[in-house]
Amino acid sequence: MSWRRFLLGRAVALVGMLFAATFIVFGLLFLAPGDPAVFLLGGGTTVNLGAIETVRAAHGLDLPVWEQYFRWLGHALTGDLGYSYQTRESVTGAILGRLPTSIMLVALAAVFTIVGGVLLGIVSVLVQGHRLAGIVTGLITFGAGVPAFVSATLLVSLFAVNLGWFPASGVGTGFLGMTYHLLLPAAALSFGYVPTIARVSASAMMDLAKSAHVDVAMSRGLSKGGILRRHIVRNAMWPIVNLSGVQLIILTMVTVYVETIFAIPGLGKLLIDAVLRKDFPVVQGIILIFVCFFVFVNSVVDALRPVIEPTSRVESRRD
Amino acid sequence: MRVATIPARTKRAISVFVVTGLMLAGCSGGQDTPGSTESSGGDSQASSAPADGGNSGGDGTQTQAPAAGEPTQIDSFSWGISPGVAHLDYAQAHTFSVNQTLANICESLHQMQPDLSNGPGLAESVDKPDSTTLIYHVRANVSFHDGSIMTADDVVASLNRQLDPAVASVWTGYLENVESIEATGPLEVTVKLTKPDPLFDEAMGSAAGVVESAKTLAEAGDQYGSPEVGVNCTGPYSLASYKTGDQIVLDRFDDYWDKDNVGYAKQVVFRFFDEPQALTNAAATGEIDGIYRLPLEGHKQLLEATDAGSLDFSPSVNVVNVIASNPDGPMGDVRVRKALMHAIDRNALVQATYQDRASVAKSPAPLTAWQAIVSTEQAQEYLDALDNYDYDLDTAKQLVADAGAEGKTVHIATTPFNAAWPVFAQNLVTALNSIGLDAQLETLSRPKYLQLFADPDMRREYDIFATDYGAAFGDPLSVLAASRTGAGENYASWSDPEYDQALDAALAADDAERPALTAKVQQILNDQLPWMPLYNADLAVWTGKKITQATMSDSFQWAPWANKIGGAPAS
Repeated sequence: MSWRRFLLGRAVALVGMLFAATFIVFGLLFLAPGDPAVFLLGGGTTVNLGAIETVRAAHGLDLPVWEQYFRWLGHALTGDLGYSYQTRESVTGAILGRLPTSIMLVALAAVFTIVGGVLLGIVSVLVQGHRLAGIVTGLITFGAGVPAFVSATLLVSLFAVNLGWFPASGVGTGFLGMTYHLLLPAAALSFGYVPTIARVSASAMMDLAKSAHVDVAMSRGLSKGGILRRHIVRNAMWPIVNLSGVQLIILTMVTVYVETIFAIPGLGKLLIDAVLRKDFPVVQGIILIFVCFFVFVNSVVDALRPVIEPTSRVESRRD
Repeated sequence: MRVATIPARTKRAISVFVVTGLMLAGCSGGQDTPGSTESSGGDSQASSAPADGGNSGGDGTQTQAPAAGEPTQIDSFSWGISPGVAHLDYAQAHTFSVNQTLANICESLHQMQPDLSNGPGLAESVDKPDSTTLIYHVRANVSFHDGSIMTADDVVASLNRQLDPAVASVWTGYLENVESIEATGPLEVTVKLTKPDPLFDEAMGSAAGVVESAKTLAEAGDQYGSPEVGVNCTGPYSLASYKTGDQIVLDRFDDYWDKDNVGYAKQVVFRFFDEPQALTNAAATGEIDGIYRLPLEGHKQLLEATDAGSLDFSPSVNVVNVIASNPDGPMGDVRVRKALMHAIDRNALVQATYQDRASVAKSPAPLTAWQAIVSTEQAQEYLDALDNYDYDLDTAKQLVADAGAEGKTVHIATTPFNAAWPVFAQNLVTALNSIGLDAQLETLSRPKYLQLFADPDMRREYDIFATDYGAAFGDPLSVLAASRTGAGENYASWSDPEYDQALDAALAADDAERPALTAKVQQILNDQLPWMPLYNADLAVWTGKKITQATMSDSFQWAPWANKIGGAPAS
């Protein structure tokens, strides 16, 4: 398949997914309890019925749901994502203001997850049959069972409040400041996902360890480290990369927990706030960003496959 | 159309829920309550403070800061607010977060004092030539943050904006008797009322009376108060930057008109938090220097964090009330309402949640709500005259039997507004079941719970729900007016001609007669219980070691306070 066809296919899929996702989310939000006009007028404290009608009309909330959607879509196609009902700031501004923080948080968490997961996977292969194997398996099982909000609470309590090594809240300024502030949140975010990568890595490497070409390599007297590096880890890369793509998407979706606990202004919190207050323009804007990101990650992973796994090139030629 | 508007204070009160609920939901939002301080109905209000030095407001009076010595000039301090601020529009200022931030940027015609009375603000004085005319003499040579000078036209534009239906102000309840607001001189504004209404002028010390530049209002339009457009007022601090979901930075306004009260700190940072624990951790680690209304969840940790600062308490005006929201259900019978009051052990409830940092309330308008208009002794006398509905299950059961309500189902709506709410929701269930009623508790999501305050039909689906409600200024009528027939905040859909007449009489009376007439209004409410007051919790204020002189009063929502805070003198 040529690159041109590949990219064209992805572009068509992206447009289709954007349309479907925004329409479904808009519809679901519309059906959820709560009236955006009420939140706009003060979170339910105002019973000014005349004002509610005024606000509904001003924002087109009195129109049928499909008309509201296509109205939004028409503006979005011209690059106008509208204004937040709640804060009155432009949706573009609200998203761009948080995007660097979210990217940094997810990127750090992804590095922790993937590097930590692969290393733990390698360790678990190396300790096979050793007494340490039980401890490593225990760690993996424990980690997999700890949700992000628990790990975040534990980490902030230990390393920020008690030891004072890291800030308990906020995002800092500048690259170094942001990195320092986001290390603990990223660690908390990745905590539950490291074991998944570790298990898949270990499993893939164990399968390879039993394969014929590894036996051949061993019979040739290659070192254990060399075999691990050249014949096992490298060939186990594809399932790891494939899973990492999925994990990256999941990490993006669950940042709200650590954003809340560490008081970090990211997209996750913005989205949840907007959903709870039925701030349609903001929800739609973030969904657009997320869908684009998911399609991008999937495309990158797919594009990497022939590079990482040469056999897939052969298979695709046979197709 | 008579618009059911909720007086600001109400709004504020509700906001309280709002705020907390959202936090619990893991998102931001929230808000708060009206402001003021209080001490509750007669019981010891003194909030206790930790052995190591917390201060307490005590007997219903406000105190100023846990202070020691003259504050020093400092570069900056940071304040934690929860949840964050969504916008800075004074017409929509109804949450603790917005109010406490805006109070330092935008000022009102009157300036609320720590006892919640009004002192001179942007109006030097007000003349009242007759009962329906108010003439405000606007202060000269007051600069807005952009350098322009305030005139009567700015006052007129700011107040008239509150009346614009498109703005949907939360303050319209206090302005509903306004006939006209006009400039009658370069520095003179004349307000004509359709009938005597003391609450209008009293509200001019809250965000209802904020003065913004007319030019800014015209230019900003719908975007007024947004992070991108901001505000342009006269307060001791000006808006330097505003990032939603993160923080607001204020710079000291060196051309502030009140030269004696220019701020000590060059910069003040308001940091946003959604989660009570995150707010508490930031205080304990010194990342923020102060908090107003620290959520209950953080009390224990910060009472013990004496190395980092001091958690102090002061009486507050807010009272948690149970609303009998369905007049057609069992709670529509006053005997059942009285039975419920007798069946709740409110002293035990307070001990289980706030210990001695809250007290049992007899009225939605606690002692603090009265302090600006009568002496503490007089207010206490009024409160002592009320029935306390002591815990007495036998009496409660008899009342239920008299009402023929045994076995009837009582639907309770609740939401986890803060750590105390699940406790008292469960107390309600136990109380109702123990007197022969069938309690059904339904926990609603925050958004759905908020709908209760806006949707009278939805309220009737439940028999009771709770609200944390406080006065926006020092007049108990501001709270008692909520139960008038048809009032927007009349969540009980309650109607009593005798009550309405008593309310009208109090509002029409002169200042000397009004307190006694207000007490009569309160007496009727206590006898009929459309709102069943549970408790009122103290205002919890955290101040870190670095700073001193935080205002210990609910006035933090309406009058500048950041300019009073400076560096703690070296001890």
